[in-house]
Amino acid sequence: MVSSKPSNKKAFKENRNFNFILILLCLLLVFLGKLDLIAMRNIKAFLFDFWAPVTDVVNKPIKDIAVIFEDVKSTGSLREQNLKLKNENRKLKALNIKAKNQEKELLELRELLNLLPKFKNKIVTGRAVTAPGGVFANTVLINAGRDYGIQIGQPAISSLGLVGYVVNVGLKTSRILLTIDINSMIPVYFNESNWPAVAKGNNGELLEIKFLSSDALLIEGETVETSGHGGRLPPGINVGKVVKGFSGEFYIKPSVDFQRMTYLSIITNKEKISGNYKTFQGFAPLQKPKPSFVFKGLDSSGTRQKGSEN
Amino acid sequence: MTKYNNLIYFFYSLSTSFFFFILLFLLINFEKALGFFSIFNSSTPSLVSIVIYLCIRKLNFTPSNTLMLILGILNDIMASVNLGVSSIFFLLIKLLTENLSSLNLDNNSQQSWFSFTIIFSLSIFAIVLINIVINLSIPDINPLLFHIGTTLILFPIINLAIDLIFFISKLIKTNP
Repeated sequence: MVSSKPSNKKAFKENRNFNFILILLCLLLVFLGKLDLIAMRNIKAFLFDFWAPVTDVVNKPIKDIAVIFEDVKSTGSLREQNLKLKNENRKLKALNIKAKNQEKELLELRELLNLLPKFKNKIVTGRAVTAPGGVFANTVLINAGRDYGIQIGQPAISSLGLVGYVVNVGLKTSRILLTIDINSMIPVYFNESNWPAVAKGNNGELLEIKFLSSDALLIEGETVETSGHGGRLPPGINVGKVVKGFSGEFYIKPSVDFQRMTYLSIITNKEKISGNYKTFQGFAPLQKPKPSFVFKGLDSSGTRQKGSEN
Repeated sequence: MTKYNNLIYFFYSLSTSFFFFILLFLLINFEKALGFFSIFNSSTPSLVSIVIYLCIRKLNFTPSNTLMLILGILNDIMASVNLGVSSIFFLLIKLLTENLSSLNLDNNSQQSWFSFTIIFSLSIFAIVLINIVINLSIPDINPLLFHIGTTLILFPIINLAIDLIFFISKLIKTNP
């Protein structure tokens, strides 16, 4: 197994040639892996399952030390944090009352429109086995797999919002591709400016905005949710907020703190709320009008309104 | 007699490689676990590349190509990168370090740090290029620079620590 010493010139040359051949073989393997063959995926899933307990055992002490470090670090700013939390609590109390009123109004409007009910999500929660940091990939391994009904493509969430989606499933483990990964693309919707787009990861802290209409005028600080386009991810999951970069370009800052993920939930399937909604009766919801300047007495299309003639 | 000697040498090299494999495997796990610390939020330093370099240059132990291939694949599985990427990286580090060793350059700590910087930068550049070709997009440069920076900062520290261990062991040997 140990290669010969460099002093032996012939052996050194042979060794170097072998090294070159292996590099070429690896390159071939890389491009084969990109083809996303089912056999390759299965091998990976098996190896994840096999190595997960070992990784878990080796990572545990380091993870515990990291937690102690973070705790010690946070004790220095306890007073500051306490004041901040008190302020936040006061604001949240006011918001809670407002939200309750709006929820009541929303339910009444839903009933009036005879709107189709929302799907009830079934959630499976697993513990993160690995840390998310990486130069070329941002993924997390969790200790729940096919035996809990997890499948490829299902979204992973935390209490703060969307974390990513499942890309590989073993019997006991699942690999989650984080939204910040370069291979991640999420169909999103901007809540205030009402535009759909795609949020693309870049292995950095922010998400790039792709396929956004050239007419779109984004608002800094507006919330971004999953749009549900394509049917892979359910709509309405919080993704993050719009932020402006140094170059004046807009980005999305994920709401999830990827460093503090201990447990992740996977939305495994949807259970429909019982009830017969086939006989749909009611008014179709109006589309939001285009914000345009309208003269008094004219409608948005520019024609004179009937009432204005009198 | 020669047959037995060969057999003994084979088992000796096998056990050394196995020990080295276990060491590097634990190191890969440790490297990944460093991601739990908030300081290594974006990326972790490449400790394995430092160990491979120092093993070849300081300890005169050349790990086999097969070992590098297996370790790289294990690293890819743990990091969920395309299979083969880390193997190329480790094989490149080994190839370049071996070529450097064959030049018989002076092995002082400054020159060592400089040569490691060149070897590491060249290898990482090759890997970045492969990743750009695979993903058809340029990744964020900040985690990459952090990865290179932390690795290059850690190298002299580890190098000095090994020198210190050598020095102490030498002292113990000379003054019983």
